[in-house]
Amino acid sequence: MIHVVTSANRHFYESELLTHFRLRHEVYVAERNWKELERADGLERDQFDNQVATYILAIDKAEIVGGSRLIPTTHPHLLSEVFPHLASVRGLPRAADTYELTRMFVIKSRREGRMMGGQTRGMVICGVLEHCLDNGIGDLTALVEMFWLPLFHAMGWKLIPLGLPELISGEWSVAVKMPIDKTTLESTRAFHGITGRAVVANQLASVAGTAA
Amino acid sequence: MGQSLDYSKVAFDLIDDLDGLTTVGKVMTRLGTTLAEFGYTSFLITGVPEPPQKLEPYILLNGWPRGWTEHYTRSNYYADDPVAAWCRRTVNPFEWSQAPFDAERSPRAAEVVNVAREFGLDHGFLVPIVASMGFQACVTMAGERPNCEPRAKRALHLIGMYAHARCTALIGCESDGQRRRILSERERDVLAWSAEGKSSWEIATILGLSERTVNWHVEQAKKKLDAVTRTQAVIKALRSGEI
Repeated sequence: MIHVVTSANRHFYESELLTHFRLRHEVYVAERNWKELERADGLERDQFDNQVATYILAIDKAEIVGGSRLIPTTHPHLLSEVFPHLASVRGLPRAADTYELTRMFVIKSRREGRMMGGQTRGMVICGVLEHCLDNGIGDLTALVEMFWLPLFHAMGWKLIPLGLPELISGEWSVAVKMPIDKTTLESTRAFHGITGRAVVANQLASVAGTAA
Repeated sequence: MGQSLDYSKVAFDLIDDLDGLTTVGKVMTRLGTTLAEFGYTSFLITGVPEPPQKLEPYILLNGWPRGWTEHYTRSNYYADDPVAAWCRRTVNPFEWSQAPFDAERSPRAAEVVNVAREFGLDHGFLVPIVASMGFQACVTMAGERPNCEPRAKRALHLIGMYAHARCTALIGCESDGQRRRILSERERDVLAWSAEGKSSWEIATILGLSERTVNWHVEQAKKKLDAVTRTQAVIKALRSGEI
């Protein structure tokens, strides 16, 4: 199930967040070899993992199996600080209802088939969408590898490129804006065969349950 | 061709227009005009199956010169085509000339490349696409003297991705379901009856199979469709036109 962690409830999730930073190090540094993210403590954390970050955590029987991060575009974020030139054609959208999506991952043992993730990935993406729709977020921005575009197209998403693709850490990547609404959530659920809500109804009770 | 061509504008104009193009024919015309601005005079959008599967059933949009597809099919070139082989191994766009092959050891590969030239397919550029559910596809284009500047190639990468997405969306709605089938007849039968709400036992009775065989076909279909549950397999099969 999906848990949403913000500055308001993160004191309930300190150990889960730490595990999630460790898993990110495994996925991005050990597996994908993004050397610049390597940290001596084995926790992949950057300057955007701060008080304004929102974390979407997929937790299955107390095990963190995937996650993602949302940063308000009115604050410094990856595209604004590190890759602004990738939005040079259309410009970088920055608005209160626009959040940047980064660090979407599924742990290795939960990936199925050639396309990463399967059901777990579906839960993470639906969790992101539910959280956004619940909170009036109408646009996401992201830096995505080009090879992900067909999957998101197939899930019924609209991806508006902001600039030409560029090679980043060996992968062709592009900055995109993604308008999202109820239809996006419905088609994403249908694509993954998910019927109910991904975000848990009573988060605190549920996390207390997993800790016990 | 002006040197001042704004590649990103050409790419973004096309992408903006794609949603408004309601038939594959319109996409084909618009894409042809756009690629011509880069010096590419012909193109193909297709799935890229593993040989010995044939290419032809996977073609989505055929803008090759007259006679080339016929010759390619008749000569059974697909299994030896070095460009197609390289496409199945990379997610990064490449110029055809970068597709490696050993002319000594694979004279057939050299023949494909040489005969292609006779059809005006001198220089080519290919954008590989790992479509949803792991299908490999590509947008490939050729011309006598195309523009190979890095900025042009980046724009073409974007154009290829979006043109392919639009075609799959349109063909998904229009098609008779003859394309890109990956399920066997039996797997389709079993999922089609599942979609009608029948249990394994009921399907076994209807099709005259054992319940175990029915379940085995369901498991095979789930694997092929990258589905976890039977319901998900049914949904994916419906969405992709398999049933």
